[in-house]
Amino acid sequence: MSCVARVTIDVPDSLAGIVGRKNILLMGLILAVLISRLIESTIDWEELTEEDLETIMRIDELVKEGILKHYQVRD
Amino acid sequence: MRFIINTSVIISALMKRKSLGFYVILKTEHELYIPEHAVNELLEHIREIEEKSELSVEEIYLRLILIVGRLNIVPRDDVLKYMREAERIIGHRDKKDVPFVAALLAIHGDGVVSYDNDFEEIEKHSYRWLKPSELIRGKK
Repeated sequence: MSCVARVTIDVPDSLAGIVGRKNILLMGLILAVLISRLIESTIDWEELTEEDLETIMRIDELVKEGILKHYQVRD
Repeated sequence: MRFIINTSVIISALMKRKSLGFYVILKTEHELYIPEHAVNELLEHIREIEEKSELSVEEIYLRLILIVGRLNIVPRDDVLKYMREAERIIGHRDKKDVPFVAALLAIHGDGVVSYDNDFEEIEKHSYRWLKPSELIRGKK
């Protein structure tokens, strides 16, 4: 003899509405977390070459020049 | 410990696929700080970075989002309070480094992480200048 029980859960319409609207945002967040974890787990590094360093420092000079302008106050 | 991260390290993180700068920013347990407006100025020059980068544009922005998430911003007003003192420390080497040293003073930090040799000047004032490799290996 077998017995089957059916359980019904009533989800309020208001809650269902919120869940429905938030689905895309939620999926986006989950995706972002998964991607960042993937990047962090596969991250690898090597030393910079002289040529790399030269390029980085050249761009850095431009960036720092821009930053300084925000901190120059006239007496 | 608290360190100011110089923009040279962030630029390296956005340019090299196998970047020690990126590794350090994501993995270090130290608190990392950057003066306000630094990220804006990086974005102002993102085209130059894109041109020289080994990464795709999407990868650059994704990394930048992850990097910014790890950094604390030192407010402009706090940095301004220490500009004169920072000028005395590093102004004679490179005026453009002054906001970074002012931010270091503002947070009462331990040092600056940078590829820029000019920051060796702060060692005369009992602060540490570390390259990313030294921070991750715990040298000095």
